[in-house]
Order: sequence, then C-alpha cells, then structure tokens
Amino acid sequence: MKFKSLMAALACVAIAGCGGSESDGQETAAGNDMPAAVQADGQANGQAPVANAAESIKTRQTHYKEIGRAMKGINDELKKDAPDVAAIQAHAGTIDRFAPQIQGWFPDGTGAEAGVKTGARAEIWSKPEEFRKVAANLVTEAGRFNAVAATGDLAAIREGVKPLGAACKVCHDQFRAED
Amino acid sequence: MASAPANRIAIWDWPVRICHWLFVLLIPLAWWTAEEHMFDWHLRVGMLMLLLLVFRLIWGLIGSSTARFADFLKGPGSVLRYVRGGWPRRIGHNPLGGWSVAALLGVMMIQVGLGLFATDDDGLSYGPLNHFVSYETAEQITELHEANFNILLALIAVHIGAILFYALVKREGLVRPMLTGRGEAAASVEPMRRVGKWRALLALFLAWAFAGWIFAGAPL
Repeated sequence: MKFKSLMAALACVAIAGCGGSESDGQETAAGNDMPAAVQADGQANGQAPVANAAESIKTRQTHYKEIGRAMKGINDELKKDAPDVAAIQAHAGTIDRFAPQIQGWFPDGTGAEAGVKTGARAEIWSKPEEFRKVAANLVTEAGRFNAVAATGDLAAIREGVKPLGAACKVCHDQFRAED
Repeated sequence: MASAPANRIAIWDWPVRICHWLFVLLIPLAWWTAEEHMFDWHLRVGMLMLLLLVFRLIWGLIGSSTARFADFLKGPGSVLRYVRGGWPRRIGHNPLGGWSVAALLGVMMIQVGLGLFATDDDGLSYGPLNHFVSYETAEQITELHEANFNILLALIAVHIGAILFYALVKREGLVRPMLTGRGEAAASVEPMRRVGKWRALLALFLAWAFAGWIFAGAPL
C-alpha cells in the first residue's frame, strides 16, 4: 500500500502556480515559468503525451518515495531527545525542491491506462483545477516549512511539520487510489 | 445477574467479557478509521487494543480459571477427543474453541505489532515504533498490516460461524454467557474459580504501563 501511497502522492501536483524561482525560495504564484528540473524532464506541460508512460510513472514514484523518506526523516528526528536540526533542514530542502516539480509528473497517458501499477487516480486528469490547487498548496507549505526549518527553532518545526503533512494528505485522499 | 437460578453458574469473569466486547467494538472501529484515513484515531484505537491484548495475556496467566491458557490450550489428542464427542462436559473453552481463541488473540497481536511500525505515508501519522525501521521496511510492514487484517477477518468469520453452529445445530447459546457471565450447567460441573480483584488491577496496571511505554516510542 505504501506503493500506492507514492502514486497517490501524485496528487500533490502543483500544476500551475510554479512561478517561484528556485533560488530565492519565494512562491510567487506568477506565471508560466516552469522550474528548470521540470523542463529538463520534458514534462513541463501536463497535457503533453509521454513517450514512455511506464518509465514516467516509475520516475515519479521514485521521487515520491524520496519525499516520503524526507518526511519520515523529519519525524524520526523530532522523536529524538536531541533532534539533528541540520538533517531536518536537509529533508525540508528536499521536499521544497520536489514540490514545485510534482505538477510535471503527470503527463497524459500515465494514469491507470498505462497498464502498470499506479495509484494515480483518473481525477488528476479529469479535475485538473482541483489537482492544481492541492499541488500549489503543497508548494506553499513546503516553502513555508523550509523557512521554518531554516530558523532552527525546534518548537516551531514541530508545529510546522503538521500542516506540511496535511498538505500531502489532502491530495492523497483525493487523488491517490487505495491498493 | 443478582438472582441467578441455582443451575446457572459462573462461566466468564468480568475481565474476559470486557476484553471480548471491546474487541468486538474496536476491531470495526480500527477498520473504519483506517478506511476513512483518520489515522490519529486509528492510532488511539491501536493503543487501546495493545493495552487490552497485553492485559488479556497477563489475565491468561493469573486470571480466573476459564480465562487461563492452561485451562483451554490442550494437545491434539484432546482436540480429537472433543471432535469425536468423547470430551467431558465442562465450562470454559473446549479444546477446539481454545485454539480458535488463541489464534484470534495471536493474529490480533500480530496486527497491533505490525501497526506499531506502519505509516499512513502522509507524513502525519506514524506507528509509535516507526522510527526504528527504514522507510522501505515501514512500507512493507504496512502492507503486511493490511494483509493480516484479512486473516483476522477470516478467523472472526470462523468464530461467528462456530457460534451459529452451536446455536442452530447443537442448540447451545454462547452469546448470552459472554454477556452475563453465566450459563446453565449440570450440578456436577465445577463453576469458574475466581481470583482476587487485585490481580485484575495488577494486570491492568502492567498493560497500561507497557502500552504507554510503547506509544511513547519505547524510550530506554
């Protein structure tokens, strides 16, 4: 089921609003400016058919796993008596880096019709506006948490990680299939 | 229960009955909270299940006669004798039902044990011992946690099937005694032997302390 979760994670796609430049970490929901990584993947346009759907799905699952691993890493640290703030900051950076890319991970043809196991629900493509909304929400939350982590204030980090998890969950609940 | 007829004797004590009916309540609740992705509540249900299971384990060692494992876990010879109808009538679990109870408790313990390491993968809810395993291991354990629930369902189906079989074929009601603690028996049958209340309190305290420690992440 973890498996499915990954795919579900797909839900978090932030289609539109990736205006923010990666360097300054701001999320100005401006324009059409896609993050470089997405462009490099050649999946900047959510509508573009993809040459190898199976590979595309596998790649996004790998990325979702990295996000999941980072989330777990943060929570693992927070359970310790003396959490490693630097480790938390690294994980926060990972999530902040991936979040704006998510919208590019769901080119047409990479749903269930691809014939490989994926938790990506058809709603990702049939309700693009809603998907965009939850994906943009994750971008916002990831940026916010990254800023909180940068302060090194453990109490704030402890509180701040909850809305980040909630941003994952709201997308999973809507756009990720159960196993 | 105050004025039970003379031929109605004690069979199940309060701890056994409370455990049993809380299981009946909590297992569907655990399933439902998971289905609805209410994992904060799912964890609370799991913690209560852990407490109950540990309590029941201890009670199986120090509790009243019909609660004890030594009373109802018999060898294959006894099970065979029971199936062939050669087992004397007495209160408590019969040799076959005893193993059904052991299987139910065992699978419930496996279920809770797996859940301790599982995760909803939303970054919100992690089993209390999730930090002891890697992300990949937690994924696999979570899958086992889901698969094992089906085994539990199958055992519950067998359990309910057996109750129906006793009610319809053998004309013996098993539900009422589990509710009231009493059932009809011949005068020659030995009733349940009770133990002091302090034992139940001790078992409850130990179970509470253990479950609390686990859910605090098992700090050493």
